[in-house]
Amino acid sequence: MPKRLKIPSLRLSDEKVAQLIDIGTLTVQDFAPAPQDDKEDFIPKAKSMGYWQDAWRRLRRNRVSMVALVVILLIIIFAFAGPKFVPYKYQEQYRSSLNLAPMEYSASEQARIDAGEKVFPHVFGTDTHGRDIMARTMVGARVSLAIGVLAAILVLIIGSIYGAVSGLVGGLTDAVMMRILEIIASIPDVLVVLLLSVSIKPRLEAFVNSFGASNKNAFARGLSVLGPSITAIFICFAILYWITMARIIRGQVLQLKNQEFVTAARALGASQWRIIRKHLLPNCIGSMIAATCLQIPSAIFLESFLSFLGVGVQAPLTSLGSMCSDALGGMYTYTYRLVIPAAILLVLLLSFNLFGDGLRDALDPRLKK
Amino acid sequence: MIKYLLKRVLMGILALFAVSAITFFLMNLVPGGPFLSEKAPSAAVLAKLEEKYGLDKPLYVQYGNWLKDLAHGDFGVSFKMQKNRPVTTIIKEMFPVSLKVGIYAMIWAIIFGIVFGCIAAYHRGGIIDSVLRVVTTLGVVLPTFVTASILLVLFAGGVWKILPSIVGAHAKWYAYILPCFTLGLSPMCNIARYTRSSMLDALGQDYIRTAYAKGVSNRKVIFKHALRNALIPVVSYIGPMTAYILTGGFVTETVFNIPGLGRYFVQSISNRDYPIIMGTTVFLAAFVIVMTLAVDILYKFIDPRIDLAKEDE
Repeated sequence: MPKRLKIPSLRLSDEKVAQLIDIGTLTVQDFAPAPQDDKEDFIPKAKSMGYWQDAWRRLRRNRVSMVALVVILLIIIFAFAGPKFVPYKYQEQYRSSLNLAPMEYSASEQARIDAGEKVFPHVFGTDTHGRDIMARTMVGARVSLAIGVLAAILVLIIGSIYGAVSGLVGGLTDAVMMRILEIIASIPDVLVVLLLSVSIKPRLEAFVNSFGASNKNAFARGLSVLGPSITAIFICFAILYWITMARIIRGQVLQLKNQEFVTAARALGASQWRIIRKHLLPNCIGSMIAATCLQIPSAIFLESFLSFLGVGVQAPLTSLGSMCSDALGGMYTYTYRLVIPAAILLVLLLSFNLFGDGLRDALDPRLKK
Repeated sequence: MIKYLLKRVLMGILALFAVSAITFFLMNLVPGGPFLSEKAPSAAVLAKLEEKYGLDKPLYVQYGNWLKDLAHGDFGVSFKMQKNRPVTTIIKEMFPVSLKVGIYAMIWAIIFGIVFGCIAAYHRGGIIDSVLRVVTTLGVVLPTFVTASILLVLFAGGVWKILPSIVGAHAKWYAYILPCFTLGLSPMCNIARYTRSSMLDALGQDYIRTAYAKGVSNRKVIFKHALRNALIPVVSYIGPMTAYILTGGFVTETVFNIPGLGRYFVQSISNRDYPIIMGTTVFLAAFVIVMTLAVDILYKFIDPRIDLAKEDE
């Protein structure tokens, strides 16, 4: 039996140790290997968590982000499921119900109500052409959301490929690619976007029409559904807006590719493709998602800006920006026509920004101070 | 230092070239030449005209000529809105108006942004800080046209009719309140956020602890010791702010009917007056690029701690 216990990690004096452990009562059993259930007691009882579970837990704790998420979901339901419940079509002009205030009924509708019929109210009123504003708002929100998400995905694809190539190859390639990126970054984007959407429009129209009405292929049909302006917006995003994403991805790749686990994988003979797939991508994916999410409001913002200036989506299709623009004429008399789409746009932008911030903090906690 | 300056100037020139090339080739995407009006000229006349204006030459020669004209300050002539007036004259006439509104907006954005940022940092963690944070976040995401319309409804007719909604050529000073407020709101909120965070950074520094230790009051520490250093990062925001105010000007000038270059640009877009669109794009892009460059260089002079050699990394 040893006379002195040595606990090097704590560096306690002998008297202290003697106080802590009553040496006289120690038996041989105390030095036997611990039984299995004792060992299990040492393992924390908490469930082990994967990256996504952990991120979700962090996100859930962020109350602002959760509220923003709920708001986004509500707007998505409003925009995509809403038109199923409203009996009015967004492009249809109801001649008998022009310029109705919210919840107001036209004379003919009032007559039908008096006759005992049930008439769906124009919750947000109607515009000068007799179109139901609620139906239009739903479609407008849908267009804005779709443009935002698609543009963000486009930015994600281009930006991450550019950034990853730049970061992985390194050297002269990286230097040249970064100089190109800096040049693009200093081009005032909105000016080019405006110019592009104006000058590309006739070309695209001519291109779509060149197929004739009957034998359009899928690409031309897609273009004609989108309309030239939205296509121009996408082109602008593809040309100008991926720089932030490329920078983020390049930074991540540069940081990761020299870390020990990548070196170890390389030493074990992993191919470049395997390293990208198994080591770099899983570590980048969090910041990629967060950056994509923050790209959505900027796309919505740009689309509404262009629509407001009259170069966005084309009638009869509508977006929140063009609804605001249309409402500007009768702003003082029909304030609600401006306020409703503007408010939805604002809430949408705000919640996407707040949610994106929260998502970034949750997915990439290293960034958070 | 000189290496950095050279590099930045070179990048700026390259960016200008990129803008001009994009502008030129996009313009040539547009079908229909400048001579196609209601009375279509005969083929012989058209050929003669194209020869005269050099349009029969290959595109790259045209681009070279266009650049040459550009270097001489010649943007071509308007062919729709103010027929045959040189674009340069139009820009000279309209830009000062935009500049005036833009500078007023910038001044209010900078002053109030810094003040609100300081107040938020002073009350950090308190209720005032939280309120300011919500308000500034809202202000950053608020699109200019929404702000403009809300203000118009509130102050120019819908609720109270106290301010004019239209800013004409000879408007009184108070007519500029609404457009300048609109234009400056988002930059103001951004500046407030920047000031707050850089102020909190500065407050963590050792010299602040020293100041507190020798008994300087909280107010004096914040507004004298911390503010001077906290303002440096704010300067770097002035570059992007110029770009923002410029593009915000398109909307603001349209909504408030200000006879500036921004409104004219928007009108030229709906009128498809391509020389004006092009000329204005190149001019404004050059303006933004030069401003950003100037601010960045200025920034290096203001803060000598920034190591220019390391900037190349």
